[in-house]
Amino acid sequence: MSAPTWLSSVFVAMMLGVAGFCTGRLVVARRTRRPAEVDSDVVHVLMGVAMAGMLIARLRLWPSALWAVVFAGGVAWFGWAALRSAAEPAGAEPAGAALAGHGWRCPQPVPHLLECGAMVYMLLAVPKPGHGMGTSGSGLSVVALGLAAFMVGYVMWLGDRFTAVSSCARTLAPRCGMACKMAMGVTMAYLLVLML
Amino acid sequence: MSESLVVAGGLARAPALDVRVDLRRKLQLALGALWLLDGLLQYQPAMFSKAFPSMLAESAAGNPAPVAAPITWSASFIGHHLTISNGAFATIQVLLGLGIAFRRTVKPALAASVVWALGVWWLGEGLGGVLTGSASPLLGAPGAVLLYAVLAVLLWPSERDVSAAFVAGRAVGASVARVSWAVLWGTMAVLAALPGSVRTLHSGIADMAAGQPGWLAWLDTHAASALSPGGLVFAVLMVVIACGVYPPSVLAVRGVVGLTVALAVVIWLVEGFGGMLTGGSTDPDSGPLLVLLALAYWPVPE
Repeated sequence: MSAPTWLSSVFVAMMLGVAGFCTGRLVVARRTRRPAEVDSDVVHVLMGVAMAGMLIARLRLWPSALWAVVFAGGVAWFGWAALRSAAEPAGAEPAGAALAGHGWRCPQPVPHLLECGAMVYMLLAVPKPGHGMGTSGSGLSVVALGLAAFMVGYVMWLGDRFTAVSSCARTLAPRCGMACKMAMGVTMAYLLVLML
Repeated sequence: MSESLVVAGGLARAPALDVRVDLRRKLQLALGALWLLDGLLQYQPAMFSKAFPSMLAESAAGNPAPVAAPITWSASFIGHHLTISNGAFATIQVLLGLGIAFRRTVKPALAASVVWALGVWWLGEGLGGVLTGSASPLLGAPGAVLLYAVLAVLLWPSERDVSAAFVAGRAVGASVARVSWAVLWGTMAVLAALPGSVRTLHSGIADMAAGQPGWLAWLDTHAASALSPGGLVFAVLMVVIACGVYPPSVLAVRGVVGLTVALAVVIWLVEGFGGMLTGGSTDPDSGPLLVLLALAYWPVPE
């Protein structure tokens, strides 16, 4: 059983929109020499394109294995960033500045680490996108549920800070960026729910 | 990756984002997360099949005719307009979740969630089966979606009683909140003690094993044997919980709230996580909501 085409199309439109926005933000930030979360924007461009292909098979650009390697790289990058930020002395990063954006690295690597991990998981668990995504009744469904729950929680956490973010952000279009993160989280949670 | 995007002065510190998140806000966000998850579960392909209206129609069984007739009618209507109905239901729940996430829309979203939850409680859950005489709190009675409505009221962002020692009392007043708790758990105790509920408990729990991962199916199968003779014990336990928010001792209340959380976890396991791992569930069932409800009564320092 597969998802209705119109529903997949809505999510695809969202993902391609996110990929387009993040690409545009990277270009504009580079030209205007403004700070940007380069690593998270790049990974969201890739995720947007990859998830579009997972939702509608004819939009697949690369084989799943190749995408999995790409996102495994993302896991390594954000894993290293998470370790680095954990090793920073307490107080080095102002509490709550996480979403503000202050350089070329995303100040919140853990959600992106899990996003990349979820992509690797979905790509390896679903060799043929759009066909038989379910893993119900297997141990894999527990992993999918856990990751979906995390994504939902992350979306709520972002939404709670949505109003406050623009006043202290230095990155371009911080609210649009946050909305893109929320769209990415919702879509990823949807894909994971399809695996239940 | 180029570092040319860094502003002059390198990794300049941005002003701190000051977002206060107290216990009530955390519980609101958890409630919103459950709505969002519900919406995403409702988008599952199985919900766009005839299985969904059939599932709704089943909730009419055992209910009095005035309750059952609208359920049957709505299930039939949904069956005839399946794609648009289910798409709309799922989207509404996603929007409720997101509405609670955004601080500016939390009030309208909570208000809308009460209306929606009560509608679903009737037309989707058959009033949680409370009128059938066989609904067990261990299997979700009085209906998970009713708990969404109760929580939305108790977590309403107002300060009617600022002196309340627990979150649920701040919006509606400590007395009303305590009475709500006592009525809810008292009702659950009555439902647990009903002969029909006790009689069907074994088969009800065993049925939860269908389609679950092996370990959870094993757990539910064994729980059916272990727990079914204890229906009355659970009823007594729920009476204790119902009275548990009245003692003046903070320590005693915390003990009861802790007991409630433990019972809610047991209930969620018995419910097989609401069947979410089977690919055909619309919600996580009552377990997580009972946990949220209990936490809303956790005594907090003034």
